[in-house]
Amino acid sequence: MFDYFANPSRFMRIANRLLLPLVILSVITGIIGLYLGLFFAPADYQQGDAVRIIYIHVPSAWLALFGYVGLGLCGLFYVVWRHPLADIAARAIAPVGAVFALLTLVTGALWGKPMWGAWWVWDARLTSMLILFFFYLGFIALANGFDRAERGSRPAALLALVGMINVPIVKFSVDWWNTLHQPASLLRSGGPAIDSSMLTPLILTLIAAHAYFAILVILRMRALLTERRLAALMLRPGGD
Amino acid sequence: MAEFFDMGGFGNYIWGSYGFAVICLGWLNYASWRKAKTKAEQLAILQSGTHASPKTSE
Repeated sequence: MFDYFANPSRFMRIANRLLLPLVILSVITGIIGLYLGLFFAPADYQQGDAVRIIYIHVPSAWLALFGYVGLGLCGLFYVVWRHPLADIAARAIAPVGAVFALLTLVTGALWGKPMWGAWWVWDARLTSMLILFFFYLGFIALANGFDRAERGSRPAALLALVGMINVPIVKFSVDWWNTLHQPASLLRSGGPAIDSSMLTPLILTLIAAHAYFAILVILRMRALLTERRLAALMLRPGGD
Repeated sequence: MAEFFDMGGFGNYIWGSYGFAVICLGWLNYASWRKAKTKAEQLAILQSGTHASPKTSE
């Protein structure tokens, strides 16, 4: 099955076919989710209306983390099997994941200031998320830091793999250490600890963000694959 | 309406978050579409050029 999807043109054919349904899914769930979150979900009894920041903060954080798992897996596939599609996927995921990580940090700061009285604290969750953002930036710098793009693929893939150590640290930092950041409210034993009036918009915005992430990755993969074909044509004898 | 935008005094933080998200995600979307489109156009030009070259040499 892996070989079947690892063919770049077949993969892109399937991905392009998924693009429109993903756009529709993202727009519909995004609009309904934000509408419910901003207009219908009640204000939190402790946080007041500031709780509405979670409808961007939580999806961004999930995607920053899931994106990095994707980046790490692509790194593994590239290092072990040297498959160019894994490299293309990793290069497409990295900037998208980096933007979601930045969004997590900025929206977290905008929530932290009125709630904690500080834009930033060196808490385990915040610090590990900042490190995750730096791993993304490191990957982008390393992947693009060579005259020939392919030369950066292996070191970048290795960096992506090393960064995987940070993923469980981000996820479990709130359990392992006594952090200011609250523990997990959704993925926890005993089920979500959020009332359905807040949970529904959150789940909808989570779906929208996942679909949006996939759209961006497909578009970037398409551009990168075309770029590779362009480069191959240029290098061909007789090509300009 | 003003009350809605005030968000119980947290308006600046909430709309700041949403505004930043719109700018970042909108820019990323635009940049990704544009890159995919530009590269496809370049490829089309190059491919039409390479297909045309044998004819021009005749």
